[in-house]
Amino acid sequence: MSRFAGRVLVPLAKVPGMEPALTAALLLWLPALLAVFGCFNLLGRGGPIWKVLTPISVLLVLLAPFTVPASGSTVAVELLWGVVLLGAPLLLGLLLLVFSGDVPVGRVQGWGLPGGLVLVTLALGMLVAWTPTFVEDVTLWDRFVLVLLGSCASLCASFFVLHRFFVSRRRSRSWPMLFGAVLATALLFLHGAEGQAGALVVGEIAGIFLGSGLALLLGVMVVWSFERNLPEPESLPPPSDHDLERAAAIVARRLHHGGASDE
Amino acid sequence: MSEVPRPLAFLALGFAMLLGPAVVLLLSDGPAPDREAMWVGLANDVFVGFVITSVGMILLLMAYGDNRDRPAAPVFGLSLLVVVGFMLGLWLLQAGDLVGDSSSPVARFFTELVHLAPVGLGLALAAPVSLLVAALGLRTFALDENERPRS
Repeated sequence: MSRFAGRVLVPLAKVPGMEPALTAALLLWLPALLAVFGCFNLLGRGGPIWKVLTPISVLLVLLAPFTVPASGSTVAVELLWGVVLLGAPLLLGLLLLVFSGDVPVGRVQGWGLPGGLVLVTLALGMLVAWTPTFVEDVTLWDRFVLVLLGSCASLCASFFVLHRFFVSRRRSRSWPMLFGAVLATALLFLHGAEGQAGALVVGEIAGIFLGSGLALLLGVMVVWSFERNLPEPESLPPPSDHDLERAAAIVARRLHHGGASDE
Repeated sequence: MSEVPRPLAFLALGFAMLLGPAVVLLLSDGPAPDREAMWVGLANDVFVGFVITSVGMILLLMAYGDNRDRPAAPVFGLSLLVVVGFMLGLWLLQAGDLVGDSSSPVARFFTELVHLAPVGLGLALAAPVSLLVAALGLRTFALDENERPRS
């Protein structure tokens, strides 16, 4: 049984007459699948049902250490809790820093800059010095920190090189990316890697990228094969006198009043 | 600023991408991992990565088929992914002990999925963090006026 469930919510930890695997399937894996599918729907043109179902699914996943008998799955959810506790101040702090500067829209008040700095500093301190005690398998947290810092170092360095060498009119804007890469590398040295964890993590990332790349390639091939067989678009008829008059009226209006008069 | 030759720029980009893994490998100490265990782990990771991304691709192909009036696209994509996934699984089963002796393939898959949770969560958090760090520099619409656009 999960350590949480053993101490706090014993009655919820066992659903009478239900196998542990079935409990995990219904209270963890199914909601996890629905949460992912719901996020896709919310980003696209999903129906209103997903606005209710997705938060409930996310909540069920987060509560899994209380409701599902202890297993590898619940340890992963405990890790998710740690990631949320670390990621929330980090992302919120960076958002505040971004929107407290010279931004065209959505600028935050004067407290944005110090607030963002405090949150980011807190998160970075947690990243190096904090290990969540509620994550049963500590090696999972160590591997997560290695992946996070290593990926940030690679991504920030790549963004820097892209803007330095490939986007000529954004060169002077690339210094925060270099700072991010250097900071992530420094934190990686501060955190260190225990034993063979580093090699295993690199192998895992390589494996995931290989497998994902193969699936992506196949998906792209499907889309390409369908797009290749699309018929030529039919040519449109020439504009009628009515169309030309309407277009001339729009152009004249915009010349006199600008685009605002159309809104 | 003088232009950097394109091959050199791509070389720099490659080195930048490998910065994180290189530092992580540099920090590792102790004896090298067992080669066979590494191969089995890699095979598992390839298979899990393929299955998870395939599910995402099927969802995307469903949206694509709906938007572009190509109803056969998700069916064709699903068939292709299942066939390749089956062949990949068969090859990995023969190449390494993918399933193991004491557990069912489904149980083994879920165990491996959980095992990869730190990697997935780490990558999922690293992407927005890095984009926000980049946004610290790119948050204005201002351009470097002394630099000429390439196109």
